[in-house]
Amino acid sequence: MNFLSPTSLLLFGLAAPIVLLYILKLRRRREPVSTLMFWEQLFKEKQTTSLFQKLKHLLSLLLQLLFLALLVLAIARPQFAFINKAARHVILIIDHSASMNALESSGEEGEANRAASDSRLDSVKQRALRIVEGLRFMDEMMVISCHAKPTIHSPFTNHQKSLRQAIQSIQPTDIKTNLEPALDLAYAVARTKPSAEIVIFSDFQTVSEDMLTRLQNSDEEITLHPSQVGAASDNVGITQFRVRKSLVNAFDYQTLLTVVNASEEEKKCSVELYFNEDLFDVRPYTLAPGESKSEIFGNFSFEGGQLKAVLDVVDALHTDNVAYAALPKREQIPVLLVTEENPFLEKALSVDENLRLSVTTPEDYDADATGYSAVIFDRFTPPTLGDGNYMIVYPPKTSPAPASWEIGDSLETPIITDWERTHPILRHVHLENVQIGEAYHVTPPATAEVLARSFEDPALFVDVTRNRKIVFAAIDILQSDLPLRIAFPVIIANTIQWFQESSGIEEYHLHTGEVLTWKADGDGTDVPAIATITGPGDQTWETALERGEILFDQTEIAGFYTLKIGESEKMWAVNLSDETESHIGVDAIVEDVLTADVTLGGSSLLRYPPWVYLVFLAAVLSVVEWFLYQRRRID
Amino acid sequence: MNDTQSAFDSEFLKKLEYLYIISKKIFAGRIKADRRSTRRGVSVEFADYRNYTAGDDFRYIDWNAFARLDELLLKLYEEREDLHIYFLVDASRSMTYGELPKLIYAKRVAAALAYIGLSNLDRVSISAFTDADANRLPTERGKGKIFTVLDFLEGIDGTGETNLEQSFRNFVHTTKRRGLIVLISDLFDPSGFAAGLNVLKFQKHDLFVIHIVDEKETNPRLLGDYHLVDVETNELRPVTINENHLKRYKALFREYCDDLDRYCIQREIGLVRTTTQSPFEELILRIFRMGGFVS
Repeated sequence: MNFLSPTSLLLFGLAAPIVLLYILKLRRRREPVSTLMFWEQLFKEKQTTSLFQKLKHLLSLLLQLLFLALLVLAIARPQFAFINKAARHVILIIDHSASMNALESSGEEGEANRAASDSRLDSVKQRALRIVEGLRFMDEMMVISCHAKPTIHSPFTNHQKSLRQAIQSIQPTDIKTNLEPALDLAYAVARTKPSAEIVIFSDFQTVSEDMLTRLQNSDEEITLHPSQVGAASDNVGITQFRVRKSLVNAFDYQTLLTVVNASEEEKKCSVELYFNEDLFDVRPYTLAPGESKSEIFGNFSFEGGQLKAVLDVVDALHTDNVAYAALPKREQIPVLLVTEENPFLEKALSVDENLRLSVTTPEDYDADATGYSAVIFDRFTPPTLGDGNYMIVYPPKTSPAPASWEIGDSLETPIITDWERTHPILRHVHLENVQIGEAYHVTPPATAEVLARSFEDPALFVDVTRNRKIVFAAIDILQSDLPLRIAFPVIIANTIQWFQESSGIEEYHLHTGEVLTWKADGDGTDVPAIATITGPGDQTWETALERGEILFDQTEIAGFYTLKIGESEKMWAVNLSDETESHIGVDAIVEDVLTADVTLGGSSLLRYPPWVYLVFLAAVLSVVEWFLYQRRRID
Repeated sequence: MNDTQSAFDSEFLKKLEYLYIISKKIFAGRIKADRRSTRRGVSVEFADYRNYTAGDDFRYIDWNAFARLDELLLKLYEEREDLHIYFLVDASRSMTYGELPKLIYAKRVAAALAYIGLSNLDRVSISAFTDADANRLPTERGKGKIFTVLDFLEGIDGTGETNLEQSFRNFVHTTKRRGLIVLISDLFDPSGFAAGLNVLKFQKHDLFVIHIVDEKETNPRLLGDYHLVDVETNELRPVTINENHLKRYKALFREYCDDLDRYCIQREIGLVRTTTQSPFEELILRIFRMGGFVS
């Protein structure tokens, strides 16, 4: 036995004054009374022997000395080796992924009582708190929460209040489950501690083969307690809801909605679609068990707002009953036409209301195409070509090429003999019998793709590099009847669309738990240092920009996240969109290796350290001593 | 007893005269030196008739009644006699207890009552008794004897123990003439008060008890470890007293007083109880208000 504070044992010296006070005879005061007859009558009934009196007084001394001994030992904080060896190090992993939001009750009665019932996470917290209650004083526990990634809520400690607070601080999220990083972390920590035990509280929604093997074959020195919570329950969920550019029209959007029935019976439900909280459509679905249905909505008349899909059904998991999508605002595409004069090109570009056309002459062109989504050079060769989208129409032969193409001699009888009908630029285009007056031989770059040929000579090619798209036409359209054909405006429109294909709206759609990123144009010196992000429930975060970039990873709850930097605002829709989380049943194979509840065991006597028992005994002794003292008075 | 304390200082003598004046007011109209006796005898005041029996004095036969009724009836008159007042003052050591010793208080009460008695031309005798002996002042009469009374009372010391029965037996053996006995005592006799009082009562004396106690006896404020010393016997009693003991003591003391009250009521004995903290003149006035000593 050792003592944490051995110098406290010097307090045993207090026994000396106690004994001294005991040895010193009590000097009674002499009090004359007129008669003893009343006092004799009072005391005569309880005469005791002097031997018993002496024994009683000796017992009183012994009790006082014992009281002192117990207090001094308690202050010295005794430590026992066998107790320290029996200390456990428990690592508690609590899954707080989306499926843990499923309510526990099930069946008809369950549906009626769901509003008042606990979620799986609440149930797990209660179990975890019971484990904390059962911890012995020398046991230490670490609390880790996990969804897709682990978070340490409390390091190893035996302070029960801290552990309880850590458990209570775990909040529900809408993030999909991945237990493996948490288990890796737990094992890494457990290997540094003796008598380590890992307790996992989860619904084990998605368990891989590898994970299953790890659950079955735990480390010899590390005890693993996988504890499953929840049971199979009815659920219908939205597993996809996202906006993309229309495949047929780059200027339109399409919305994909997928609903899955993760129940074992047919479900009838409807999906309500809201735009900026205004209901605009209701889609009824009848889904067979396990069936999923997808639907694409397009041709939205509105733009720039919040789309929300709400599944009108009562089921166990509410998280997947709502999905969000950010519908971007349609903005006109800025296009620059550099030409001396080309009414056909100018007309073809100006009729498209999605374009904002600017026309300039080669003399006025200052070689800066920044701010334009597309630049069309008509019979003009720019000195340099930076990043961007360029269409170059029949540039002069004599000008030095800003890119690696070479212009050769004129073609004698140019005619379109072959073209790529499947390429987006030539989609729905027929180039047969186009009369061409002027064309020349051109050698395209090695990376170029030839879209139209005049026999072996390229008449139209595209060159796509990392940040630059070039469409090169080797024919003089003013010396041809192409502008008079339907194909001409189609080619122009297709080209503008093809230029826009790379700029999508995918960046405004995230899965819960994914990092929201945003980067300012340039080096970011002209944007404010602090940005504000507003999430679901009007929760607000202030985040600092580092090198003009924001990385925000607290997208734990599905909903809309609005980033505000200065005067500009951008909105992301964050969704769970995970079919495995919607299947809130439990895999039978996984169920075999799980335990319903976890009992760590151990003597409940060791719940408190020895000094607490010593103080308790001292308190009992003081009561006994007080009682005896009172008795002595009675005698 | 505190030797420095005198029972009769000048203040006391003033109070004595004051009490006498008060008594005269209270008993105004009564004949001096007269006290109605319960016995029938010779006087001018008719009391009753009774049948003549052989040996009766013919002078008291009511001849008018004989003429009317043809029956010999004897006229009875209230007997007038000099009242003998015996003051029995407890002089045991227990009477020396208290900040104002009970004995001094008893002396003042006895002196005051004796003065009033002497002033009324009653025959006053004072006896200071203990278990061992009794110091007695022979019967005195007349107001002028008050200083003899005071000297006698001044000379009483608190010695000896209390044995009421023994003391009163000695008293009745030496006192054949019946009268009013005023007993001034704390009555702390370990063998009880009843046996002693019975001795006096059985001798046909009129009895009035003045029970003097000290505040510390009725309401002791002792808590903790003590050696209680009996002032009469010097006996030591080590005790540890707590609140419960004090409650029990008070209950016992109250029970003792209740027994005394009950005893006196049953035997038509006048009783008045006082503490030494109460001024003695108030006690005297209280006795007057009660109508005197005759119950």
